[in-house]
Amino acid sequence: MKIKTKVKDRITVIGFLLVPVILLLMFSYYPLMKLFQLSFTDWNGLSKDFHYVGFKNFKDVLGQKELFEVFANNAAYIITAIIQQFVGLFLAILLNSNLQKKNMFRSVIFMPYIINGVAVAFMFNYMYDYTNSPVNVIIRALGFESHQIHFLTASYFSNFALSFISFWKYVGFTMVIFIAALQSIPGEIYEAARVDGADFKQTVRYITFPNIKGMVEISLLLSINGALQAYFEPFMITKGGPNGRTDTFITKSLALAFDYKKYGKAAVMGIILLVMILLIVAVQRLLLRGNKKE
Amino acid sequence: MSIISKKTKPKDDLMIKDTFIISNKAGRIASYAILIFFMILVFTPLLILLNVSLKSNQEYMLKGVYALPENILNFKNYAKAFVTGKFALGFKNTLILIGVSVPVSLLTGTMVAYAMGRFDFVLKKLMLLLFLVPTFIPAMTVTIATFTLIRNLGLYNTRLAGMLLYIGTDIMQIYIFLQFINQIPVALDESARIDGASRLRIYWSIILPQMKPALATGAILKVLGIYNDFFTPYMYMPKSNLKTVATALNSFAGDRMADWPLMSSAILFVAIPTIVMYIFMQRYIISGVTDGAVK
Repeated sequence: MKIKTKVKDRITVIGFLLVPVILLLMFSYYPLMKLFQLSFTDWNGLSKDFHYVGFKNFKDVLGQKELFEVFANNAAYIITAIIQQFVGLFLAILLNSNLQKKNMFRSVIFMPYIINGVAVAFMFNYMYDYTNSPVNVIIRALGFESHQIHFLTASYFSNFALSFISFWKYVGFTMVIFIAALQSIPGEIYEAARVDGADFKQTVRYITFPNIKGMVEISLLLSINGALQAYFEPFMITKGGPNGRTDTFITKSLALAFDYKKYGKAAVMGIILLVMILLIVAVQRLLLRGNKKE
Repeated sequence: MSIISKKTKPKDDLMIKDTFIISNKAGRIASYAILIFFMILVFTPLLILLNVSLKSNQEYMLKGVYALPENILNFKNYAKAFVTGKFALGFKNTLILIGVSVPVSLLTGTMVAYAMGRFDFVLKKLMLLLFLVPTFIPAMTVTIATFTLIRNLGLYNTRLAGMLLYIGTDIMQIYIFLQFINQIPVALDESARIDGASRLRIYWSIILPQMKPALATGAILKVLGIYNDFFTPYMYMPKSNLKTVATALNSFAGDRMADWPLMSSAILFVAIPTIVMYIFMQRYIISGVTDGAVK
């Protein structure tokens, strides 16, 4: 009887896991291995055959000055992402207080998160129109005509204009996450602080920050992770232009593969990004462990 | 039974507790001002586009972006954009992708969670690791290899490419299901087993009904995810008769960006379905994204 149960258990487990595991191996593990294989080849994406070229692609990619210029563009996304974390936290703190209409504020500020990204990108393409941008309309109304902003031109500022789109879309998300984190701090601690006569600033400084420090660290690392993978806004709006001024690491690697047919080099770029992200994840895990020990 | 199902419902109450007390008047006014500023920031682009979308082309040429439309019920641009952009096809294709991928991914996700959460087997630790590792690998980094795979499988420019990617790569969802299944008392399974129910039967008529709240949240988030996804259809199924809402909008934009009224209406009717969904299912969406992030 017992053996029969065991056999049945095993059949159930195998039956239930078989298809998902096959999908997992196919769409998660195989591409990863394929990426490493491609990085050692000169494949052009079309021909049947290709040659192994050793570490040539790695040397070529790492030896390119352009690679680091692209990272400079990604830096704008990283800066914006960090600002987004603090703004999100600040809004969450405001919404954790005794203000009215908190649910309404939260609902509205979170809303952009669920709007179609293509729609958002094109919407901002209009918001960044030189003559019609609401920002420039206000600047003109205030009489500073010569200070109107060129949003999407060849200056470095374009990268901030593009990364602001994802700020607009995701700051409410960050806020909602921090609201949940703040709500999980036991209320008694705050009660005690209130009894002791702590004011708003003191409460935030001595109770809130120590309690959510770990959460903030992790959230910051995740946002840097996301910023390294930024591609959507330049891909939709500027196509990396003008002249590569708004290329990010990902748009560059996609262009390398699909426009220039250099799959090997594009694969190397994928690996470099992957290694950087895994390093950040490793730091995050260490922090997580450190926080748990405390 | 009723006690259990109450326990496993999502937090019905998303009310925010008053943690901080802002008592001085200046502080309260400043707080409201900041929050209202962010509300305006959210609504401004949407309202500007709405304003433009209701104008005829001549009207727009003469009066520009900010003048109010002469006829606020002028939906001609919407109709024109919908037809010329072939959005009916886009909505149909998106719905097909959703209709297949969402139920199948819920099914496979809960099956994995049931097998992992309710049975002990030799390679269980390894299995969990196998499912954990990919969560650290962002899809964008391996795109080139995934593209090669899809083409080698002969799936390029087929709906199956999108469906399989939506079903096969959503591992976070499995974790959420697993957490949820661990909260359902094992006693329920055991009493059913004593009554002679098979494992398949237990999964189908005990576990799944208990998981309704998690399934609802999972389904809603997945629908949003697929509707909003641009990259998968753009990359793996670019053929014109497979265009989804997102890729149809992108193709429609092509060289029409100068036509503000027409584009504004296209942008808005692509944006509106999820906004409507959000208005009605806010609670599930907000608690769903929080559960996913604060793991």
